[in-house]
Amino acid sequence: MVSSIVFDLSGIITVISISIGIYAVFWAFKIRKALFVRLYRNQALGMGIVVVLILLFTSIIVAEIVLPSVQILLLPWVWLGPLVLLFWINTSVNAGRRSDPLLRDTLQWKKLRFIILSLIIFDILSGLAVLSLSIRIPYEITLILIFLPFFSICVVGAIVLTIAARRSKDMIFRRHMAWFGIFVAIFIGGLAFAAVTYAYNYEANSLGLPLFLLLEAYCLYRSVKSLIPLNRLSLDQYM
Amino acid sequence: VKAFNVDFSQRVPFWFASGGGQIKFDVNDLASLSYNIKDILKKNVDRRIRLVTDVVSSLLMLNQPDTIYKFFTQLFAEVKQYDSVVLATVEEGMHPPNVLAAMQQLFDGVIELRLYEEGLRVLPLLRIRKMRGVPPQPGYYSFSFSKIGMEITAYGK
Repeated sequence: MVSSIVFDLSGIITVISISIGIYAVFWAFKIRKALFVRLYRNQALGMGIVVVLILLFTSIIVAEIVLPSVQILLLPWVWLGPLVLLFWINTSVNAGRRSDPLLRDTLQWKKLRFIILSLIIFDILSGLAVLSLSIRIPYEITLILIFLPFFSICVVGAIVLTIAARRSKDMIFRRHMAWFGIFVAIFIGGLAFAAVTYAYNYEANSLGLPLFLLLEAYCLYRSVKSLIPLNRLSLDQYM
Repeated sequence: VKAFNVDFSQRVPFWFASGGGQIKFDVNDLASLSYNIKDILKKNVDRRIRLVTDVVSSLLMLNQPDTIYKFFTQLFAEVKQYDSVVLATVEEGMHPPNVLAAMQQLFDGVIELRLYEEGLRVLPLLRIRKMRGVPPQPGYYSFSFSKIGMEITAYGK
């Protein structure tokens, strides 16, 4: 039984984390509006939508504690998530390529992205067919259908973006990718923490996970703010 | 060049590009770049020429800064003998401050285009950091891009 103090504290931290996430989305779209080149506008848009999806996922997981039926809302996320990730990864790879002096096509990304897109579309159509025809399929196949495109895009995206960031000579792009990489590392750490503490120490789990969430939200916010070099005007610098 | 979505076929006689231009551009071959530019200048001695380039950052990444400094010093000495203007862009985040300062020192004018954060707004502002022969203008200007080109308006608080 989780003490009420821990429960309240974890609730407050979760609300703060989601607020930081919403602030990050706000800045992503503000930055997009200020940019002129379509490639960078799409990069900011992709980042904003990725943060929105992460926020939705987090909110559903949190809401599931009190209302288990909301779990069904995860299904569109499972299908939309890979598409949104693919869009953001594509724009980021192209942005990284622009700042690579040799304009290299990382891992033949121009062709690779269509293979991944085909996999995602196949998965969506399969899922829709299974649902609409009420086909009973083995649980393992269900898991594969649900998670394979998502993990494929995550793994491929991580490799491609890491190489693209290393090849790019743009420190701003690298910083943006570094913050997102830190977010991914903390996210994976949070999953491992949840797996370990869920069975043995529920109180640590209840407080630890929101703290991980807070760190993830902060990293996403810094990643968004690192999309462009934002300068500050001092008071004596107006016409 | 088509990737830039610009059709200046009637106004731009020559494109140097790694693909799609009239003259092939190899970012690793400074000698060829210098030769081709000087060749074009000589062939168009009776015309006003505008040279526009976005390769400065790439050149600085692939070569030592002092090599590029010497390259441009020699190139500009040649270019200034003709009725020509050279416009170049540099990505600020790609170079250390001393390299940027060295490049700025080479040019007669420097215009800075940056995004500024003011409260919850992001403002694209331009300022003339340096312009030889013109009194200093410390103010900022808002800029935007539209179908007709770049629009610049005064910015004030």
